[in-house]
Amino acid sequence: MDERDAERELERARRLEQLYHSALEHPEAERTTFVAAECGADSALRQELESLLAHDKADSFIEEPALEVAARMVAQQRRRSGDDSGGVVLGQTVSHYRILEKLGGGGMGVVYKARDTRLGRLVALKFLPEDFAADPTAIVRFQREARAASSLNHRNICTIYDIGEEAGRAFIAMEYLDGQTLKHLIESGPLPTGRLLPLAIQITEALEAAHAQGIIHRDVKPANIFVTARGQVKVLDFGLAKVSPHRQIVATGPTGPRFSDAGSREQLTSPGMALGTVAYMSPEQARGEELDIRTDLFSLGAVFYEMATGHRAFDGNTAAIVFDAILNRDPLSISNLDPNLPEGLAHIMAKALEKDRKDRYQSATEILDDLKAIAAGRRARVARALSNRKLWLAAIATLAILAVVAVAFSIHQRRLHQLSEQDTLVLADFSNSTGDPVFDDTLKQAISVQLAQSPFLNILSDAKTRATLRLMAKPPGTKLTPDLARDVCQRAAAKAYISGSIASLGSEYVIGVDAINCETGDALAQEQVTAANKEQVLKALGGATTKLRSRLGESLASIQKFDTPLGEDTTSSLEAVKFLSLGRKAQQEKGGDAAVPYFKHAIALDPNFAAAYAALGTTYFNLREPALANENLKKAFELRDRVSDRERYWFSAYYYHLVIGDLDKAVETYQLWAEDYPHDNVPRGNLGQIYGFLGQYDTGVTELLEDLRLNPDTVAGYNNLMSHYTALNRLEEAKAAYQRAKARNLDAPFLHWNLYGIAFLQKDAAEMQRQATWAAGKPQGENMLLSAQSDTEAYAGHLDRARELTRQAMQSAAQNDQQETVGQWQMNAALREAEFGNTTRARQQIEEVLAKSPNRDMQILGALALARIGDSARAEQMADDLAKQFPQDTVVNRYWLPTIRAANEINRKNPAKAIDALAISVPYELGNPSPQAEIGAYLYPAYIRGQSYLLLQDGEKAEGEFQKFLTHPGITVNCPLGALAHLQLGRAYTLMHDPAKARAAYDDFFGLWKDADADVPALKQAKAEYAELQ
Amino acid sequence: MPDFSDAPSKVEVTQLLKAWGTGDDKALDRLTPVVQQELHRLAHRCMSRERPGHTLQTTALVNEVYLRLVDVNAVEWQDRAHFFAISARMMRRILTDFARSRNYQKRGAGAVQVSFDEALVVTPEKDGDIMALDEALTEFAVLYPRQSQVVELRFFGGLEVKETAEALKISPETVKRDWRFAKAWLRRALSDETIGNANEDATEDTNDDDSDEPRKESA
Repeated sequence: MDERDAERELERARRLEQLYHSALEHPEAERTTFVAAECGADSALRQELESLLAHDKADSFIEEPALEVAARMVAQQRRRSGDDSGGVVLGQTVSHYRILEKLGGGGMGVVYKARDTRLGRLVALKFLPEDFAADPTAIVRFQREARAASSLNHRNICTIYDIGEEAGRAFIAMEYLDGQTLKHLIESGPLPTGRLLPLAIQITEALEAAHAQGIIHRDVKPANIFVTARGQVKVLDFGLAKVSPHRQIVATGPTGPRFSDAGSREQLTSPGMALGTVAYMSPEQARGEELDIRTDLFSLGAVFYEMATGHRAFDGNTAAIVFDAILNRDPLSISNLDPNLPEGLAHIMAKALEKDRKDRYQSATEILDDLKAIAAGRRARVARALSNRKLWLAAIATLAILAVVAVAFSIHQRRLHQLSEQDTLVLADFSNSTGDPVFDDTLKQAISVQLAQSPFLNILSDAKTRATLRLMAKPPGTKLTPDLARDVCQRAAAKAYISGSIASLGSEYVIGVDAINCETGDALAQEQVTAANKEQVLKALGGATTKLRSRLGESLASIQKFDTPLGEDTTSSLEAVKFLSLGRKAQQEKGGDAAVPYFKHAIALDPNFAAAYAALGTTYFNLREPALANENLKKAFELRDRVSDRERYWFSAYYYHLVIGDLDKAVETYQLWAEDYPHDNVPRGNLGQIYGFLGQYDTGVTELLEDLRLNPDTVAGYNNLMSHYTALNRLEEAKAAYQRAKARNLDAPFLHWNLYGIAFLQKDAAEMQRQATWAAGKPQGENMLLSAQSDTEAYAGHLDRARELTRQAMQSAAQNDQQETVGQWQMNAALREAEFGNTTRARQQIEEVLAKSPNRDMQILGALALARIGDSARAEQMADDLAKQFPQDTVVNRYWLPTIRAANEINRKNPAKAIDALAISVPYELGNPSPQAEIGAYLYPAYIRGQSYLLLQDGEKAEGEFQKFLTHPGITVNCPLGALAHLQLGRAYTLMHDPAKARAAYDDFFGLWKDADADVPALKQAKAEYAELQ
Repeated sequence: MPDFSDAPSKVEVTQLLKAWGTGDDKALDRLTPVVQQELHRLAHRCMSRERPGHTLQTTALVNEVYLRLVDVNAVEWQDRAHFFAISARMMRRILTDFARSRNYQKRGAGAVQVSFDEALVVTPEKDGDIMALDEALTEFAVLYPRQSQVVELRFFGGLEVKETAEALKISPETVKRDWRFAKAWLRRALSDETIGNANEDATEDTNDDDSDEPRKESA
């Protein structure tokens, strides 16, 4: 196209658009005039404008996103492709049922014989009609009814084993029955009274049992009554008629056909509905009125009538004729049809078939009484005809009844205590059919918080769930559908799984929470609640969960003690809960850093959401960002009155433990937590860690073993166990702990950090290298192992290499954006320089770290390093500052401040004061006092105390202190102080006038530093001292 | 359907989108099955929703799909606009290809029925219409590039007015005006082509299972 043409065309297009909008601004009546005036002689423009205006409609054209349009297309295609069987094919496995043969089909769906591949038993699998699948509320109603029916436990009611959905098809798995339906049975003619009575009694008993539970059948008819080969009645499909999604045409009344809305009124039938169903309806059902149990009694009468006569009580060629008969006509008199029928039976039918339900039997029990009376009368007659010689049979019958009572009693007992304290539950993901993604994950999270309050219930941890999924070769993030939850439950040897669902019903929400025995598939407890609106959902769920706890056997006292309602105190923001759960998911799937933005968003949505602060704080803690960790954990602690008991323990313990460092209070809180929630591993694990801080490694090991018994998938537990065993010089056990973790497919950088340390102690250079190689390139592991390698080099006096490795460690941490970790490795190096006598370099590094990340640990180590390079004034000032900042911190006040102050006293040549200052640290000196940093700063109080004794010329006491380094190699590992301790021992022996031992000690040191960098001041001084020894 | 473990993660989808946006055509091959899987999932949901009395929360649904597909958090705020544009373009490509492939299949598979309810909704329900719309939109873009982008973002990208305005850095009012104009223009373009089909639809409403239901809405 010519450029000018193109320009002209664009100009014309612009004009067209302008005119279009201008025209629309005019009232419709004036538009033609406007268009004519504007377009003038340009008739082409006018035509185009007019045709465009003609196509201006505010309708749904392209208003639906294309993705949805395409999806609807696919949906239509699927529906039309005659996919009515839902694609069920013989031999196919649906859920865990293998389809064996088709048993029949009807208004309520197709029934297949199938085998439960898990339990090996035969089941009847009934697929609900396609319509059900297409209507989520119908599915919910169906499930609700099926659940209700599945709670019916009666010998004459067909047991429902399972309710499921696969590929959009809802199904129920029922007891597989061998026999035929009553419909088939009576096709060949009326039943003799002797046959009829026992069947009628059983059918009525089934209804009596259901009515006692408030369940109305609504579709009592011969096709729904099964008679087994042994003559036992099984009534099928309780309540299911209620949930048909069809909007039904209701009987023709004086005003002609009426429509009835699904849900608001009772269901009737659609034109296509089999007459077989219509024929047994009660008049009130035909009129579409509210139903009560009496509708079933009418239908029962109709069934009895047919059983006795072989004819339908109400019959006709069309539904309209049948309705008319039901509403207006009496059935033919039974006595006329069969004069031999017992009088009583005719009376029962007549009374059951009263048009007005007020005139009818009012309960199944009444019918049963009458039926039994007839039966008894017959029996009495029969008995009279026989002799009394069979009385003993009656005695046997009595015994049999007693046995039945005993069985019933034991069943009752079991139901009372559904779960025992040792039983674990698996939480399935909520099935959310509302279409509102805010409920995804959120409700599971919420219910998990609610259930977790219960000391009685034991929820399978996320870690265990993931581990189990791994065993099943499923990705860790796999959605835990009820079926999958059942699998997980069985594999994890848990007792039951909790499956929840939410669906919208108009503007309301229907929430269901079920606990299902994963072995048998039986429902242990079920709760269903509705929430009037979205805001009420959390609260409603909370209520349902509390009830569920009680149904599962938790004592009322326990529920009352541990029940902080959801949605009131914790948070009322569904969105916030959603982001919290998204964060937890991200944490599991991608690690802590991925989780941070989610937690932050949750906090932004609800600034009082304690759990989100706690999650964020803990994540920061594990990301080695202590300042950020403390800030958030503190906030969670401050909000602790708004949380559940278990959370309160959690937040308080973390606050004492990690924020203010009051380990005594932390220990107390963890112990209380462990007492109230004996299944919780967290308090055990953290107690184990704290005992490590305190130097009580044995006690720590005990707690950690308990931690890992309760939850063998806590990787931190293995880490701490390895550290503790190493500290106790039990290296093989430490390695075994790693193997245990490995056997569970658990891995983490610090496990390898521990393995590296163990290899160092065992002088296994190849293994050390293997661990370093393992960590290379791993964001969290690499910097950690690089720093460990730097310590190893420093331990051997290779200061240059140590510095290089520290540089790499810092760089690696920086790449991973772990700023506080960068500082940590630098401070580690500074302290080392200080001990080695490189004052200037040490000072420079200390200043850099303190400027960048002045968190608690860096202040501590910075003050210590400053003291060690002789800057007592600054060290003292920082120590005072630390005392003010962390007045309750056990480690600061009892380990570090005494050490820093003692170091200053040494600088001031007051060794006696130094020893006094250190007195308080004695019980803690073997501890690992650097909880947030893997820094080679162990046994410092002993080291400084030893130096003080050297200054006091007390060689023996000094020797005692430095000897600690040799007896506890597992505590110091590759910490360079451990190498220097040999030198100090040499000095102690010199004071003790034991030149042989002194020389040996110096030799040990020179052995360790055999190819050390020559310019290390500590080495030069040692050499000078050694020369004097000669 | 792709195996779960082979399916790209959200992060990967985001990266693939970026790669495709910078001209890597292969990225689309990886994206297509993921989108199609979501499409089928959505189809299933649609089947459950296409009932009177259940208004479709379309944006929620589509947003949910996006959330599932894409790690929105990984997208820097400043290139969100760019990201939306690429996502919308991807949807357009994949859905049009999808409609095209189905159209070929269908020609061999016989006639298509459209139920009465669906016929009431004037929306390009038929596979051919997404293709036709794609073609019309390409034509429209020659003269009205910005306006066609509005359609791409809203119809294919599932964006709201506000988001569209943000992505194109224009006012919401302009988006609304462009949208109204584009609708009329496209509808005209489509109706010229599809009159025959529309008639066919109206007469082919026979034994669809919805047809006996009372219809309250008059749209």
